[in-house]
Amino acid sequence: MNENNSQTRSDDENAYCEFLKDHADQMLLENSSDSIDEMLTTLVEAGFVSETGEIIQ
Amino acid sequence: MTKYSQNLLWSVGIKPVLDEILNDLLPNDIEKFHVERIPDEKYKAVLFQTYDESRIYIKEHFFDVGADDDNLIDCHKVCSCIVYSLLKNRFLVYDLRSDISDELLLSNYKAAFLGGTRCLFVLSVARLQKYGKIELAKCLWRKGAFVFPETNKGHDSYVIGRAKSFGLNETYDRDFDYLACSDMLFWIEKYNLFKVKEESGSLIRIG
Repeated sequence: MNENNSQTRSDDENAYCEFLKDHADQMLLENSSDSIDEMLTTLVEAGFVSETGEIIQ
Repeated sequence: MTKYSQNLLWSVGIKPVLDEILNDLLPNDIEKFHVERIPDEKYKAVLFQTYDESRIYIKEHFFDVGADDDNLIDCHKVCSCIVYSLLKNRFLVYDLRSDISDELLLSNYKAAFLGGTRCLFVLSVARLQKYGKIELAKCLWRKGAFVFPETNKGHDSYVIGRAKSFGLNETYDRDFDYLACSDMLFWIEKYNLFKVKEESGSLIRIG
């Protein structure tokens, strides 16, 4: 049974879950400064991987 | 992530792992259970479609997406989405029989764990390179993949333990925890960077 099913939670727990949703903004995670695309391009430019995706040892 | 980046991660991070897992299966099991691999191009397409959907989900729920949806999420979250997609889209299909071997039963779960960690390995080397830690990047790259800690006596290996955890969660219909998976990946990366730095320090001292 999935414990996240609101039908099985008490009224207090449901109220708390709604409260959390209203305050989710306060818990948002920090964003990253690293672009996946840029990092993978770096890997190719530095010669670790070929442009076609072959591993260079 | 551009199509080019997806293809790169597939070629360098995911496909080699899937190849290794399939190659490690006993020929007897492959024949007996009619094991089939989803064709690469078809599999890659659904894999990254699910990846995109899960990336959008975690970005909208756990992050400030930014004025033009241009804020970035870190590579651990990205790889967590890749793990989820590998779990949801099983690359091997086989006959569902009661006498299935442990190896085959855990194969798709191993693919999810090892595929995700291999992608993080690639991105970890890239980040070291990007921030000018060239020698560390080379040292880590030479390893070929992340290593995992030894487990306590009598316990499954770390990889098998993770595969079983994924399997058990799916058995009992537990939601995938993106953030816990991301945290696990963070610590695996940290462990490997610590080991590489230690080894590099030893080499410098000896030299």
